[in-house]
Amino acid sequence: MSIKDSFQFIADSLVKHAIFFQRFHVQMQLFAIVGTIGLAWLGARWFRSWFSKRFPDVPKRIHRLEQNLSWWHYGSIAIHYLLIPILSLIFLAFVSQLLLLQHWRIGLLNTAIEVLWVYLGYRFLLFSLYSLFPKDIVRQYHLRLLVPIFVLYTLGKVLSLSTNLVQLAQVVPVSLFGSPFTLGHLFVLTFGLYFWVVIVIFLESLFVKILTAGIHLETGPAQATSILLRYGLLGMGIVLILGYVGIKGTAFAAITGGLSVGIGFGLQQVVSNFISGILLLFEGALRPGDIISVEGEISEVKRMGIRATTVRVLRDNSEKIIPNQMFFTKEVTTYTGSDRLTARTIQVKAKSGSDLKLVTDLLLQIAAQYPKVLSDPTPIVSLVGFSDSSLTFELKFWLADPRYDSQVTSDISFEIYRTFAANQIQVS
Amino acid sequence: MKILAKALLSIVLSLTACSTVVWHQPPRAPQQAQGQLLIWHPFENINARIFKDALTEYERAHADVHIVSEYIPEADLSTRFIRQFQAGLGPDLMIDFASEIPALIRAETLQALDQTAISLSSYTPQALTQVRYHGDLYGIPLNSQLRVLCYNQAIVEQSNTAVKATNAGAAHGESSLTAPPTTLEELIQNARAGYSVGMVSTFIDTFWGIQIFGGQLYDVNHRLPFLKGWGEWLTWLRQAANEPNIVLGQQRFVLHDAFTQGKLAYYVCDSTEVADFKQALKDNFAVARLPGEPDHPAGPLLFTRALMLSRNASPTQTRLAYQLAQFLTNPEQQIKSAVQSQDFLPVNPDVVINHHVLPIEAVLLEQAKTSVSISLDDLDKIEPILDQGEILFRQTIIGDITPTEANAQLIQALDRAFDSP
Repeated sequence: MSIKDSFQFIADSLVKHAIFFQRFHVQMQLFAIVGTIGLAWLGARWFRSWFSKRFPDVPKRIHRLEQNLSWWHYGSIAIHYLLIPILSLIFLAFVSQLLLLQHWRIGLLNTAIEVLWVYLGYRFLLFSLYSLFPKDIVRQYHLRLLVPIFVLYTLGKVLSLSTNLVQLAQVVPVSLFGSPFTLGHLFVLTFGLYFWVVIVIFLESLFVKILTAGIHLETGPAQATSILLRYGLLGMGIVLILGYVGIKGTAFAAITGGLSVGIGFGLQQVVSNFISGILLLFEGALRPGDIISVEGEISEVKRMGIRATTVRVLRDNSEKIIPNQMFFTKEVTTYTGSDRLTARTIQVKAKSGSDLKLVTDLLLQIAAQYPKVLSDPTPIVSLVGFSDSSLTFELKFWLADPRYDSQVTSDISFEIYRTFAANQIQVS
Repeated sequence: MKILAKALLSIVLSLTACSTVVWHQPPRAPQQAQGQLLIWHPFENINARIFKDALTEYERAHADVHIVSEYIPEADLSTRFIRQFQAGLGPDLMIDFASEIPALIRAETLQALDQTAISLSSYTPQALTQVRYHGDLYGIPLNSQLRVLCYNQAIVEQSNTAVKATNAGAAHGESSLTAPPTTLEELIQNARAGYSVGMVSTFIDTFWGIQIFGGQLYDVNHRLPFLKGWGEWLTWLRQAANEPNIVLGQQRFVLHDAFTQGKLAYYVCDSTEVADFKQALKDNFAVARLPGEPDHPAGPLLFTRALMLSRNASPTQTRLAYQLAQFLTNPEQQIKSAVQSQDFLPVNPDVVINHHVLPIEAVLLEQAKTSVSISLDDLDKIEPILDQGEILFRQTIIGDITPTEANAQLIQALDRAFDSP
């Protein structure tokens, strides 16, 4: 179909629908559909109001479904949730029989009944999902997947009543890269891509759950793998969809080739970060959950994106978005490279003449009693210096998680001060 | 954009005025045609273009009329029409074979036309009998189609040249090979002389030969079915099938392709195939009347396409549809369609075609004069007979039963169908 023919087709479709809307039987059916659904809505509203007064403690909304409700509660929520489609179906069936007796057309009513049955099934599915699975997860599926599918189904059903969808899909509003870009292509490019992205995200979360819960893989590698999986699948989807849409490879290559010069200069940093991100993920030098020191701040890696990495600064809980390129151009200290053990030292100056053994024992005892200090490797106390007035001791201990470094150091320092005072060891 | 703007304007105008115009305005004079009309048609390629050109011409003459035409595949037309009608949708006017009318009437989808609003003399009686059902008129004939003898002039003229060159052939009775065969005997002679002949081998496609052997669908009173010549025709067909150059095949498209590629000299074609052949073979393509006997010409079945009015059409659209139908079937339009498509068989008896200007159309019109037109009133009873005929035809061709047995069984079936109330 040429662009001119496409405009003609759209114009003809508009006139055709104007002709339909002029028809008495169409007007009557639309009025009947809107009227009965409106009546069902009012009926359901009245019922809910009566029910709330009669049983004020019973939950009515599906989002308030709890796991341990009684059957009575489940039933009441189900009635509330399914009442509108059920009433609409009853009223529409009744009205369609009435119209049939008058030998009026009921094809639109039949379609409305068909759509309402699907709607009832859809609501029942949602009710079952909310009853059986955690609400937050179901809500994601509900809003991102089920609602768009139902809306598309209804739209398709209504459009197919009066329009040849195959012909509609062939309408060419514009030409792209020398190829006709049809409404069908637009549909696949938008909705196809949307559903692909949604499905990939769900697959990714499922994958991470299986990896972390099922085979007890560390969160870091699991997340890195899922990111690679996500971008891999998304890239594949985009390539497939562009291929289906019919964008010519040669034209696409020529345009992207030309753009690449501009990209090279203008988006140099973005591209550099993008490549760095891929390298970081493949190299595995950094993983979500790692504790690193960046620009003098101890931070935890939260998320690794393809362009930037998000870290949480342990000092003030703020988050920093660090371009991936930085991990290749600046020195970064990681405390969790090969393992997560972190050694900390606290220096204490006791007054000259203090009992060396007592100080050593007290320090070891304090370290041993602190739960977050590891017993293996064992804490060590060393005498690292002395002078006329003081003896300098160093307590070295290991922590399993570097995030607790400041807190543990502070707690142990407090304890040393208190214990030394109790044992009359003077600190200089 | 201009088209869209026009469409939007017409929607606004129609939505603001539609209901009142349809239901309360006094009837307009015919020359003040106004409104919108949705038409479904099964025309493809050149025929679709010709049809659209005709609609455009009508719109040009009636500035306030907007016609939207939609192509629907022929096989889907009536089923989709019924389905859409039941929703209050579908076209105001549909073009389909008249044989679909009974089913559409049973689905209560068609309007019985006001016979006083149409000039019935503008249509051939043969065409009218195919749109009249139990006394009411349910369609306005648009054009007809039938079987005719298509031939490749290049192959036939080669023969002509060869005969002239040797000059001996004529002495041996080969003069009959220089022109299309006019009798069955000549057809066999052509086949034996090496000119391949293709025939679609079904009961309906071979119906044309029954009349040659004295058989008729109707008797002199145009009432009782009468098919006694079928047995002899079957016998001839069985003998013809043994001729090496006569190809009887069930697949029309195979023979169609063979003729297009110049592998067949003669082919009993459907008139709807003419446009394809003309395009493929150019001036080498020609048609002739089907072979017959001087007193008993061939009688192919005539099929008529008609404009049918939906019961969903408003009174205004109905009036508009009458006008449009009369426009499409006026002699000028019918000749124009015939000139452009070359396979258009007019239904207006006032159409006069010059044999020299439009040789193909002239032959089609000539052939139509001896064609058999099944009236719509009889169609319900005859359709099962056609199915039965097809079964018996197949059994005879493969040798399961004799032509005489097949004929006797078909006549019994006909008698049963027409004797029953």
